[in-house]
Amino acid sequence: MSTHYVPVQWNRQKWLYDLSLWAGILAFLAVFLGAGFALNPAADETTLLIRASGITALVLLHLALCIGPLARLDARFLPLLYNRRHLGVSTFLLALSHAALVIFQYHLGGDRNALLSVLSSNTHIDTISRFPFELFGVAALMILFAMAATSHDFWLKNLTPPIWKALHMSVYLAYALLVLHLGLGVLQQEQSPLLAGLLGLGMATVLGLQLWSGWHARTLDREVPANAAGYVELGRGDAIPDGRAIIATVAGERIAVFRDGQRICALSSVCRHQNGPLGEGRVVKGLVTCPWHGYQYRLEDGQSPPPFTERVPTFRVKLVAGQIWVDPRPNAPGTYTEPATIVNDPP
Amino acid sequence: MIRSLRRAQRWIATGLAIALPLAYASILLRRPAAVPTPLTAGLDLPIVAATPGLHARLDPRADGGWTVALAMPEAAPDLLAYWSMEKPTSPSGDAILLGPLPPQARSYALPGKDAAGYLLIYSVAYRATQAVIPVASLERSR
Repeated sequence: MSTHYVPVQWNRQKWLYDLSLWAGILAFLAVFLGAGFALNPAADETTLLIRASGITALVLLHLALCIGPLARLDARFLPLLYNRRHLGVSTFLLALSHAALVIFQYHLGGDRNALLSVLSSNTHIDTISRFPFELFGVAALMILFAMAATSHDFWLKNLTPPIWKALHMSVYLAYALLVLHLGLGVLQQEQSPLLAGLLGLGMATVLGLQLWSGWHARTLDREVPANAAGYVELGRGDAIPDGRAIIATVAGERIAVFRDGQRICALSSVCRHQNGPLGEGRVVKGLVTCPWHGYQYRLEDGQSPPPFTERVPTFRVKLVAGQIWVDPRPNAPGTYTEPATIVNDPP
Repeated sequence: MIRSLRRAQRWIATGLAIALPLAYASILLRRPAAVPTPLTAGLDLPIVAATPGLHARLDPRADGGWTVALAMPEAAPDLLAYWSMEKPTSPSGDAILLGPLPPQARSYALPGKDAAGYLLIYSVAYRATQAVIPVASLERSR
């Protein structure tokens, strides 16, 4: 939510998130290196660093891929989603360190250009055990670079949220490439079932959560039909918890019907920032607050409070005998609509 | 807008959930056995460095050159095989990289037709020479 360019809008939550993240990363690296040297005192430090950086990047990628579905399934995971971009950028930095160390260790001593050597030194495309697995790693690294380089609101705004989101969905391709990189690389040499089992478990967790949340969200996408007057009925107004919303799909998009005290208002459930689920947020001091990054909108007109300029479409809403009826035709973003009022039945 | 993205995401996840485990299982099932393939043909080469389990054999090629097969099951990680005309202590100077040496047996074509030399097995992970095999000491008669 900004009116001018700021490289990173640091706040206490972001500092805490990043400090926790990097404390975890450094602890993992320290444990890995310590255990590596303890179990194998003759091991070369560069080789251990290559493995430590690669495995840490892989663990972080698993976390990044699990946070999204976990937050969609259970709101208690939303704090992890808040600064996921920094987790993604950290993943790229570790993967880049891994690649740089590999080039230093294996490709810098020859008379061929080191980068060219990575791409061309292994030509055994006809065998599984000697397949040029490095190519999968290079491709995954390029995808992670594109994502890390555009992990900023500047790119989100200029590329537009749909294109930005589509670009960042290439993380699934990067993940598949990394599984192949490991399967055709280190797992051909290290035949311990532990390594293969751990990667299999990670893959099952990521794909299982993605499938679960994806098919769970499908139920939200079922269209609610309109009546003869063109309105859709969305249940009782007093059944909505105060400060929260119900979400429904009408006319092809998700809308959120919020209750703030006795007032009922309907807005698009799609945040202007990153298409976050506004309907899963809550009303804070009369402002709908997106659960992802805290973008806020006024209930009655879908307009961010000054000086911010974001706006979402609003919908006309009325209460008939306590039942909510919503006109599925969206008003222009920022259009004022009269809230419906819950009238308590006389005792 | 968000619905179409979510739908795409759902189908990508479904596709990956089918294809990726299959590819992964296929890769693991087609891994070569950890136990080295017995080297049955050719001439045994004397091993200078006392490296447990190292086995080397020399075979003539149809084109007049020679192929050396190496097996080193109890190997240090990240092994590379080199060929050198002079007796080497490390893979520097004129040593020619033949390729990585996996735990399984692997064959390498030696450069030249009759050139005698030395095979050097070096662990990048340990930064140490693991074995030196003098091919020159063996008469290459067919």
